[in-house]
Amino acid sequence: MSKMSKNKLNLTLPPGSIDTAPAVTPSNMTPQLKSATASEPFYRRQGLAGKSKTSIEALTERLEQIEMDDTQRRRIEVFLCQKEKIGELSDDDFEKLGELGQGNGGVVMKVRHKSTGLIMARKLIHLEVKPAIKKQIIRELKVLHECNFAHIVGFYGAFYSDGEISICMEYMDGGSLDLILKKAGRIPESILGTITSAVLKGLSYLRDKHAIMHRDVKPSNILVNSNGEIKICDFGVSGQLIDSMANSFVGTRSYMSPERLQGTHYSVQSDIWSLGLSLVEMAIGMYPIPPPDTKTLAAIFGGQNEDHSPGQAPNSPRPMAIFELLDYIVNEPPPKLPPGIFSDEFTDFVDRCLKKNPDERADLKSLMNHGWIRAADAEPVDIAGCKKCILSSAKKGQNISQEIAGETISEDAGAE
Amino acid sequence: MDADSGYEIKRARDAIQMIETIQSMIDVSANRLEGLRTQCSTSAELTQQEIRTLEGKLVKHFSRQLVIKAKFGEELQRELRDVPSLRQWLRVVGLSVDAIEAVCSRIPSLEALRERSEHELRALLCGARDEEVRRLGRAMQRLRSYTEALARGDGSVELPLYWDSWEQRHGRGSPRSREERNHHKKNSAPKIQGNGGKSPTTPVSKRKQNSHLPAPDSLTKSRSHESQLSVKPDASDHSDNSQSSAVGNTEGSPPASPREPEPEYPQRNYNTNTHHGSPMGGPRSPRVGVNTTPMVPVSVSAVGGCMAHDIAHRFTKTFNMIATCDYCDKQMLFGSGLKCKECKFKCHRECESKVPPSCGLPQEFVNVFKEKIHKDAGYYLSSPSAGRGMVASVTPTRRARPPTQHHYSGNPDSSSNTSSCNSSTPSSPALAPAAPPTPQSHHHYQLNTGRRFHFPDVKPTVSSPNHTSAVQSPARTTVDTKQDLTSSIRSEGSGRVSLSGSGSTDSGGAPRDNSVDMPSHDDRWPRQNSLSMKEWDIPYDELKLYEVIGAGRFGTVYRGSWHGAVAVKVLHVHALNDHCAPLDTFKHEVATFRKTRHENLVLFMGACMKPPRLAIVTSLCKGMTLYTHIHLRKDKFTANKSVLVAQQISQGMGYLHARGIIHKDLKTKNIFLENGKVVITDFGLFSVTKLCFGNNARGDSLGIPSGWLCYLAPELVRALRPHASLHLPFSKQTDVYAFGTVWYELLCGEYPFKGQPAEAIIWQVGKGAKQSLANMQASRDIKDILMLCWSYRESERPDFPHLLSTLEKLPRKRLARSPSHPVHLSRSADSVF
Repeated sequence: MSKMSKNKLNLTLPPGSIDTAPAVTPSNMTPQLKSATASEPFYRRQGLAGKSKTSIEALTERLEQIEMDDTQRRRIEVFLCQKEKIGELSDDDFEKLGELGQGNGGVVMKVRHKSTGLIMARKLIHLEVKPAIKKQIIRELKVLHECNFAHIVGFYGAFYSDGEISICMEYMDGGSLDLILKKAGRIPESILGTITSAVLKGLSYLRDKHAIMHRDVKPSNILVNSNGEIKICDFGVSGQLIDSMANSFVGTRSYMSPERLQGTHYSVQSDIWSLGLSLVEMAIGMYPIPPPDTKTLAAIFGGQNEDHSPGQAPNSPRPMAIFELLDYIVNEPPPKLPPGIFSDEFTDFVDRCLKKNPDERADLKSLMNHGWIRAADAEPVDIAGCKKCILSSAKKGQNISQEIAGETISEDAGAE
Repeated sequence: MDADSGYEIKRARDAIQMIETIQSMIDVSANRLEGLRTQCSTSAELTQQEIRTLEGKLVKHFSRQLVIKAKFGEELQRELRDVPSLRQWLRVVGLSVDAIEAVCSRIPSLEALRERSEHELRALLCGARDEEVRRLGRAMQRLRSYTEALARGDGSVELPLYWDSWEQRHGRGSPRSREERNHHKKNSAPKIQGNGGKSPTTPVSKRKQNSHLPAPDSLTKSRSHESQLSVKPDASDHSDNSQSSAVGNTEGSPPASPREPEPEYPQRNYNTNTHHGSPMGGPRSPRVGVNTTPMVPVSVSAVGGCMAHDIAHRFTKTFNMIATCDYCDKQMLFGSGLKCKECKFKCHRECESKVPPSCGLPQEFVNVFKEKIHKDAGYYLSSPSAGRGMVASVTPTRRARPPTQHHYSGNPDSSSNTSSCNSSTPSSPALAPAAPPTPQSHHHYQLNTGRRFHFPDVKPTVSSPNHTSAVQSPARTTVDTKQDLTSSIRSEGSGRVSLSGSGSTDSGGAPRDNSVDMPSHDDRWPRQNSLSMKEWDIPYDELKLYEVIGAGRFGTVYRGSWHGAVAVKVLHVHALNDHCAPLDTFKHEVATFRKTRHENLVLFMGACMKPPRLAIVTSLCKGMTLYTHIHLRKDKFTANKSVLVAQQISQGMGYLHARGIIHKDLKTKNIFLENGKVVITDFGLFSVTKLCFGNNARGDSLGIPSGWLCYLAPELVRALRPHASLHLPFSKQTDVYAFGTVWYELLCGEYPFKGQPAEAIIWQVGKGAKQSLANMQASRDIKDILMLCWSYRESERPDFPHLLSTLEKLPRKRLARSPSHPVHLSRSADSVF
């Protein structure tokens, strides 16, 4: 797939665009943006067609949708305007505000762009490569300038200094879902619906408009902000960057699909698996491999689940070797939601995502038409507001006030 | 009824079977524990962790046996009388042979022991060291609490089940050898003359010597003597050192303790000996009791294990940045330490209570004393004494000098190793040598002789009136005396070094000067004035660093100058606090490099070993690495050239392996090509990564440098964990696997599993998948070599000598015709080499 992005790059960018790109892109952007937003109603329509709703309901929904698109469009326009003022970025332009987190292969800093005062997230990736490779990477990253969409984290620019590639992105003050998950314990199904809908839109945008697959869908790559926007970041836009990364980190969790682990051919379907796994994790509040035993689930869900045995062998919480974990993904039954706690729709949605055979796995399109997503779209949840309530309920009374938003801004990773 | 009894029988059979299964698990774990305590650096955090884990496991196993057994009636209980084995339990607890015997003679079973109160246990162990009492007490408490938990059916409860059964101290010196030397100097020299340390006869003579000694007196007397402490220097236990208890508590009535079986004698002898050899006795003896002839001790207790030097430190808080605790040798964090105002002795606050009143006493002596005390309670077979047996056996633990590793010390033939042993003893935290699971009487014998040998030495000093006075007076030493001591230590020190070179400790009689021509193995002693050490310990200031020529996981490589052009690998040591153990490992590994001289290995020239300045100095490789050739410059290696390179790698690696060194990080980045000559670098350095990466900032994930995974054999890949620092089961076979990957890179110009994410490689390699060779254009033989090296089972991988001969047999012509590189054929070999 990296090849794809490379091709894409070569096709879309004029050779001289390296220096001029920032100035050029905003104008390039607009058509892209329009086509992107135009594509939305298309899915809507499909969704509506599949769903027999009364015409009034459908109408209001579409209106809402359009209205949403307006907001989103306006925001993107604002973003692009700001970006236009910035121009080419360099190391000196920034003032460090703090660390937002450790991303795959690099650290993410919260920075202020001195001349404009804009707050950004700057991801630094240590690279020791030849100048030619650096240039290629920066060039490949320029594709990000064209990724302007409501559910994709905005991109300000990339540059190389001092052995490190910097990628400057929109700062998302709500942080990533894994941080929210850590604080909240787990995320209610209704919010997950809204999140999933956004992620699916983002993924299809990447695939349809840029022929990019994400490759790294996981809670820490889904960001939210206080406007209630949900955006994905860190997708594999530069094959060269992926190849050049000096270190990779393998941890206690893996969202990689079985077919990818096995080294066989993989596609966007692989992202679907990762999404499904992330959903289960966020829903039950723990990484679901190996599956939690009945006792653990009972502890999580306060007894709701007692009658059900999840059918998996109870697993003592012992630390798994990395290989063991991966082998579990490949050879054991896929994780699923514990029965009796979540809606059937949601459970079904997750099951469709977590088919081990990628051909049996649902594709993006059918998932966007899934009942669970349509229901979520019909009743969009205000993520910003909800985030507050999740957090405050998790904190049991302390800091319930509005400070929470502020607090998360300072504590959470904004983007990564 | 019938059914019932049938059921009963079945139940009983099941239970017995269960107990047997558990027993086999116990055996395994106990052996492993024994091994860990004796063969590993127990100062290492990792080892300690593992010991704790094992202790926990063993408590569980024993508890389970107890619980199962308790469920059955008398009959079965009788049948299982010996299960769980009390003796084994005590060994697991970490008691000395003596203590075990003492307990076993009085207590019939583990159940019975379990019923004993702390107090009773103490009484049982009245002759043992405090440390042992502590261990037993704690272990019994663990056992009780877990058994109770089990009986409640709450077996999964989280209890702390360990009791830390490693020897908690690491002397710095090689007290044993020093002590022995002292003895020899004084009186044994004539006996041992000129045996260069290797004389197998020595023990015999020692034994003879010893044979007319009175039976060892009882060591068993308990610490009740403490009351006398303040009055008499002999009262064994001045030091607050909690471990010292047993040492000096000898009573005047030698044959006294009837409960102690035969094997204990040597032990006791040893103990007495110990006293003598304790720091005070040693150095002072030259002045006092020199040349006293062996006599029967009037009263051993007169000297006891006391530390006659009794000056308390005056500790104040220190705010030094980083320092090493002089007591436990571990790093002290900023502000966590104490420092004596008078003598600058530094230690942790926690260690304060254990520090002997050794103010002004040179560190070496303190160490000797500590060591003594630790050792003399001795371990199962290990206690050894002084004989070189022990020393030798201890050695490997630290040094892990692979070739010597398996020698059992008691064997006179192993004396060749003993030389290195001396040096190892000091820092070796593990006192107990690797006791062979089935101790042979032979060993006992050796050990005994070893111990006895020293006994006479002890006495003279003891009995010497001069000595006594000397012992008593020093309490408030003048500066003068201190200096005196110091100087004597110095001389001892150099003597020791030389001796260590000269072979076994038995050769103590050898004149110091001999040592000069002996290569000292003692690199453990950076502080001492050993010439030989200095050879390898390069002062950082002497190095000139120029430009950076490389950077790796370990550190940055500079072109430098030290008596000519060198490569200096400066290690990034970030957090030094918790990382003493890796530091030890580093030093020990560096020590092994010196012994490598091979055309295809980089020449090791020395190292800076004073943290935070850690650097390794080697000759400068002039060429480029294979990595640069293959992956950056994309140079094509013809089949012939590849074979030549591979042959040289095999040669170098074969040599390393023969020396017992595992490379652990063989990869194209560590192989240089200098005008066609292969130079392998960075061998054995891998564990240094722990120094640099021990604390992974991300905590829950493992950083994997690019290109590293594909060198890792399946067994290594499967052992990767996100949390633990890299503790991987490297072996010669894993080096062979890595060689396979190098071979593949040479042939194909890229890494196997190219472009795949780390997780995918981990799963595939762990599963035994190999890079497909379908697209590789090479002859069958070449692919076969590759596949053999990449064998999933380690046992199926060839060794390097075998590989070398296979490579040499490869038909050149056929290679030449290999379709993969038809063009380069004609020129390749000649032009390159």
